[in-house]
Amino acid sequence: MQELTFAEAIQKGLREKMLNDDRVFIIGEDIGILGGRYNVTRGLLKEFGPKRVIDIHLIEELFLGIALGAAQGGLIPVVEFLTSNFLLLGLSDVNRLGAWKFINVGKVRLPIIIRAPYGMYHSYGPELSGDYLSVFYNIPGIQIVIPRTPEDAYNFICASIDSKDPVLFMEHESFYSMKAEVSKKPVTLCGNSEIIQNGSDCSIISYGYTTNLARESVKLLHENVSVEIVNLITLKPLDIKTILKSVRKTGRALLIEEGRLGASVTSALAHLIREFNPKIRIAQLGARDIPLPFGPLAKLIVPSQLDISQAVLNLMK
Amino acid sequence: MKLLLIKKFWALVMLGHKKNELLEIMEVMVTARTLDLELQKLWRNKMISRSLLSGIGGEAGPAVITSLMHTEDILIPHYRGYAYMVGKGLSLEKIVAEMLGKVTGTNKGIGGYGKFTDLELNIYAHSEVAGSDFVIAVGMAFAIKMRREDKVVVVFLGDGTTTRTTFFSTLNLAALWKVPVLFVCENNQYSISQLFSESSITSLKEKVNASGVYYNEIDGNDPLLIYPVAKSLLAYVRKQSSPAFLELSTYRVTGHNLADRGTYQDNAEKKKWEKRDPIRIFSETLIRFRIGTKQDLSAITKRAEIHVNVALNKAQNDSEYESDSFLKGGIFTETCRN
Repeated sequence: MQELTFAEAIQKGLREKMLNDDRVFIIGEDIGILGGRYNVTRGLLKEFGPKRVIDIHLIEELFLGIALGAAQGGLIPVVEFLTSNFLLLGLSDVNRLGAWKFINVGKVRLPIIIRAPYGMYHSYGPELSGDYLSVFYNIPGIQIVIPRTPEDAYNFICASIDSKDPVLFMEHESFYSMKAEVSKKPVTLCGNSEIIQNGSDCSIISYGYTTNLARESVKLLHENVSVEIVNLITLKPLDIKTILKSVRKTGRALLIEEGRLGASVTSALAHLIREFNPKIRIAQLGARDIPLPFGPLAKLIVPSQLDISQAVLNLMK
Repeated sequence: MKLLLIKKFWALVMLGHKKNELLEIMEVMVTARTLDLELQKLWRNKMISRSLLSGIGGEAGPAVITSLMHTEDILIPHYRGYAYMVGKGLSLEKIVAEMLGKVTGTNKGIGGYGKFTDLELNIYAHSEVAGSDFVIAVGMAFAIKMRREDKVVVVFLGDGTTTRTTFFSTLNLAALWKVPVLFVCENNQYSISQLFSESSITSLKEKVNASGVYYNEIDGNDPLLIYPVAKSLLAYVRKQSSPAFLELSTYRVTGHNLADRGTYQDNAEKKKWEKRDPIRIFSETLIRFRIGTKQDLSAITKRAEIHVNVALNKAQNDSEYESDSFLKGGIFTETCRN
């Protein structure tokens, strides 16, 4: 067993897959000599050369079109975006990637991995911070993976590269330096979640950073509430079985997302839970529908530990 | 006129009088035209409910260029007209079935407007978001280069897509990466109702030259003139593994689609181009240079009519995708399937 940072764990997966399969190549801005904004690809240029570690200039509008063509031509592109905000420049392509298998009635498959750093908690302002998972969640044909630990990062980047269909691999910007033990595990992208804390009174369902926030928040609860925390690793396909099993047991669900509430991921979850059993008490937490301020005021927009513990207590009333 | 004849004669000398090849190009053009006209009839009789676009007057470029492509060469066709697919060897049955929305079509009639994916013939789907295909083409050409394969990509585009931001970025990238792709722009002067001259003060030639992609242009309505130019460009792309751009000057003698009567088009201009119909021009050329006889040409027309009618009759009896089988087994967006 090895101790790795989140960034190193992604690199470990990329390296192994690139060594095993010469169809795999990586492409993005400043990923070569600089090793990418978060050092994920540091050293790979030296090891694999400029044909498989491709530094590309500012044409995010083209990244995924190139990837579509390359995949259609028999390669496996791993495309790195600088932030999920810039991925919006390729939104039309994301829609196309999701639809391409359908358009081609299964004759063409697109093994494309889109790596996008995201997050609302690092105060870079409205143009460089974002979640946008609700946007991508509504595009059919795209798998969404959100690793939460270095071990997830390693195992799920491998599984994503093995997948025959497009994967949106969302990396939380605050995770890259997180260090933990990493071991190889077989994982599926076909609906994957984990219960990181068992409980009987209330289920918290979240993903990525807000799952960690929820765990910290629950530790601080003075009241005697038994909280179960379900972390979604694949947002799409959703592991609906685990979610429903948990809420059936607790009868209460606190759904937390980092993105904005509204026509959102947690709204979709709330709908699924309500359809399953209308008696389950549901609360949602997410960002406010305001552009994220640059600097410390950002914390007013996103859910805080206090918001989470209060929401749990409200559900228990 | 005299100069044109000399040019054509020279083209024939260059070709070494490949009689059959030229007659085959004619057959592709006539077949595509016949199919186009028959589908228009069906649309007018409300037997095609979807929007229908006509490629009449634009058959020359696609017919000539596909005749020069190898089977393993990749074709990304444009959405207007059928000469691309007929020329690349796709059966009329599959083309017609797709156009009529039948399950026997290449894309089971559900993939979108005029999608003709055939991996054996290397025909790939175009995107209906204009300005996306040439990016995909560069990606495919990149894959060819990486895998050291002996083939090229040919992508067709309209002049309307050249104002997209992706256009210059794509040319820039193709030149930078030196990938084997031939961009063929069919400049029919119209982007739906907008004239090319209303959207740009620089010519395509200036734009393409600025990118570093090798450029050439030719009259898009005269097959014999297109042939040597396209042939040398394809050879350049293949041998140098480099991008090239061919602009075919032509004119859209139809509306954007059948519902559009092109009321904004100048009648005199339209008439002028109708007289320059590529099938008419090519017939005259073939007869003048004794490549084919009038009998050869009428035999081509007869065969085209028969083939198109057989395909139409067959496809009309084919079934459409049924809701049941669609929902139970045919949803191709699901990711957790093999």
